[in-house]
Amino acid sequence: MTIGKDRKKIIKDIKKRTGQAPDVTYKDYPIGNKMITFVYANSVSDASSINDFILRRLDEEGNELKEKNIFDYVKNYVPNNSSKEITTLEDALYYLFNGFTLVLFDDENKIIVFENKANRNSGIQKSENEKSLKGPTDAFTENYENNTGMIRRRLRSEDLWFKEATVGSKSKTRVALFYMNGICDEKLVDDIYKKIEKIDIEYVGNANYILDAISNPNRAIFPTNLATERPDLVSQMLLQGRVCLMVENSNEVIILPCTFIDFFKNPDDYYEKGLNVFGSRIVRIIAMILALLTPAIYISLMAYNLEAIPSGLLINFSIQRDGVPFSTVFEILVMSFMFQILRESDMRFPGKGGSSISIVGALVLGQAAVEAGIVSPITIIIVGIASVASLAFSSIELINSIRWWQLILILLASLFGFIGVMFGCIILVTVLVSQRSCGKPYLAPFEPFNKKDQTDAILVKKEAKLHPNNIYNKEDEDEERF
Amino acid sequence: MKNVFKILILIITLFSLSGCFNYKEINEYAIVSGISIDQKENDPSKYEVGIQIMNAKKDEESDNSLITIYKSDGDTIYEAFEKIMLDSPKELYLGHNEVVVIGENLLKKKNPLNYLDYFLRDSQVEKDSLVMVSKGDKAYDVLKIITPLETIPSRNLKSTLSVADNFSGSLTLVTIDEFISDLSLEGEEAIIPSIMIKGSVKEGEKMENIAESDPKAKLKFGTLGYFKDGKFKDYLTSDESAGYNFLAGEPNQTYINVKCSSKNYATIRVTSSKLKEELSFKDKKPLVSITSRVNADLLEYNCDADFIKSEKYIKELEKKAASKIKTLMVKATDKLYKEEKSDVLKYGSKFYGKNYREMKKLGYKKSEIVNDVSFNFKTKVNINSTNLSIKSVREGINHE
Repeated sequence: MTIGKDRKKIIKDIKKRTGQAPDVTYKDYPIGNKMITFVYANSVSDASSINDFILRRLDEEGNELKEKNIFDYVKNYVPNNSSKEITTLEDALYYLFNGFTLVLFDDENKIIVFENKANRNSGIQKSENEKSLKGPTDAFTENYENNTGMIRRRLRSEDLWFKEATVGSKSKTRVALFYMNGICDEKLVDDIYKKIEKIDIEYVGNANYILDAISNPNRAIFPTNLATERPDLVSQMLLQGRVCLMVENSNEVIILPCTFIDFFKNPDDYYEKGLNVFGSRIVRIIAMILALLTPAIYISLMAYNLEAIPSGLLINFSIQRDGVPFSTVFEILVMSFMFQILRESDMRFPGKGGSSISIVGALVLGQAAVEAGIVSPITIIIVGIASVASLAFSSIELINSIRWWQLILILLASLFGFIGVMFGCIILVTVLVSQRSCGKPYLAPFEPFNKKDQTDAILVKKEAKLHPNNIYNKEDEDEERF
Repeated sequence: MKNVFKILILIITLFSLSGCFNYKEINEYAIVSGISIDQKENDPSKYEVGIQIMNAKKDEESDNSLITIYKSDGDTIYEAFEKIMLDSPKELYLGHNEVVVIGENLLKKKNPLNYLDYFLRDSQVEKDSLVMVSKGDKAYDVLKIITPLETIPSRNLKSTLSVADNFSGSLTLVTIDEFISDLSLEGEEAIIPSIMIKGSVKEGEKMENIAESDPKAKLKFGTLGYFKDGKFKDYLTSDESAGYNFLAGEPNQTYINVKCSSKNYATIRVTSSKLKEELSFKDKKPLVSITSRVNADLLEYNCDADFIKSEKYIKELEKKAASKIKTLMVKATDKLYKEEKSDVLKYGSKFYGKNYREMKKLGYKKSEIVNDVSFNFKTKVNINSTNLSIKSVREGINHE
């Protein structure tokens, strides 16, 4: 819908389209011998900057116009860094609720918008979900410009490119794809961008909405994208040829594509000595294996393969289990479930209540359950090992997917013993190998094996830190992207 | 989605019913740690089987488990187990059995191949159980003795035997599958360690036995027993047992006493030994030439010597030790091969493996080698270390 020539009619149109929104202010202002109207939304624009930089400016010049045409005068003499000419009503409404001030004229087919966005963000804060011990502690905020700035500050090269799109018919959220020109695979960026442009949804809450809209269901359960709130990690990843998806009003940036080994890395790894990092990565990998397999192996040992337990231990197990009426599988499932409830409540509980929950949990789950004869002590140890091991990762999505695989393996173990566990492991590996993240292999650089990239997989070599490889620079045939 | 739901329900029902193949919780088993086999006293055709159960009950004070013993009889071993299961509230689990004790009487009267079949046939039975013969007493009594250090007697037997096997040199470990294969193959004979009860069985089966610092009843290992044609013959002396162990190449860390002067002794400990056997036929008779190289440490030396000043002390010691070892080996072969014609060192099958053609030409069978075999020994001892001291302590006395 074009904007029209009549100022009054435009005002009427806006009022009609916004349902007489009470936070929209209309201010008539005489200039020369004509009237113009300022329209802005109080809730998103900064009133003092409208006063200081638009009204006062026009006032100082008084009624002596330097240019005959009011439109040109306003356009040229109001100091604003992002003034735009708008010709449609849709655009006008978009800018209105984006913190711009509209200037309406009579007898023109266009209006001018000036940016007067109110600064309504909470400021840069410390990263809470991904703790940093040695590295920088700043984290992304909900402010889009801030976030962009945080990346720009780290990568000042002109090769940091990004493409922007507006998604959501109601939310009109800005979504950006960051990548390094010359390092990143252009085709990948284009493919993702095209998909994003085609998205037809109403609201974008965070980056997950975009991912759900563009991707197919994930068979491996394990996450195929890496969400982070740390700008230093994003910068490292950009240099490895990844694409970063940033969404307005979300403090999470999504890194695409990602590999399985990325979840065992931590941005702090690059601020430490390589040998120490090698140690902690091994610990994380063992933690993953323990988290997945401990309960399943315990069940198969206890229920099917007693001969594999050393006999001294067997007597202890047998005596401890004496008097427990439930099967081992049931015990394990009950205890794991209790732990999950504890974790969930601990996470959602506001403020300092968390510690009281852990006390109750430790007492009720640990001691009382054993003394009451509901579970055997060894079960508590096993569930404890598996649960603590699964919390060694910072990605919530990874922790949750470990939980599913744990359950699958427990069920297989209870049905078929060790054969079931082996079968489950084979399925797990198969699924991981066939998994792709944005058409790129998920298990890279192990499958397909690449010797060069091993320098930043389990090992961290100095060269990989100082001159990061593009892990996708090879001629892999990309399969179906999403 | 509907299908997934159906499968989920199926799985949940399946596992909650827990009627799965082989699924058995650990506390539904009675874990057997030792088995004894005797001949029934008033009915010699029947076997009397005793079992020792590890996880019978919990000691409230120490949280240790206490053992229980069951006894039954039957025409076969398994029948006796079945009868025991009628008495016991739990199923027997033989996967962690540690020892099988066989009574001397039964062993002397019947070839063990007549009753040990079950131990090889059932997949659940531990094939690594140690076999031993109870010398003098009933095998069942051996299971009853409660011993210090290890509260579970069978485990005590196993660990004692393992330690003894390492250090004494006159014992050897025999597992049940080795035992049965030695007995059943032509040209091989079995050997079996023996165990005795020192003290009274009545005192030994009480829990108070281990409360005393010097228990009334103890278990003690004897020397090795040997078989001839599948029948238990007799026990070797301890010298002969040691000789057997040297010949079998398993002296491990045994010690040897050597006279270093007219009154005093020195002791060396074997650290490793290498045995080379050459099998040949000389004058149409089988001949075994054995070269044995033994490495040893000096453990104790009670004569005058300064090992740095002169090599002669060590050289002399080495020579004496070598001849001592040779004597042990000669004693063992004289007893086993010349007197008893029992091929426990398996030369029958060794000749068959290495000199098959010659053996066939001369018309020997595997089991006939033992009748004519003669031996030829060469031993060499190397003393590598005199440990912490380079002199003997007596050296000081002499100089004053």
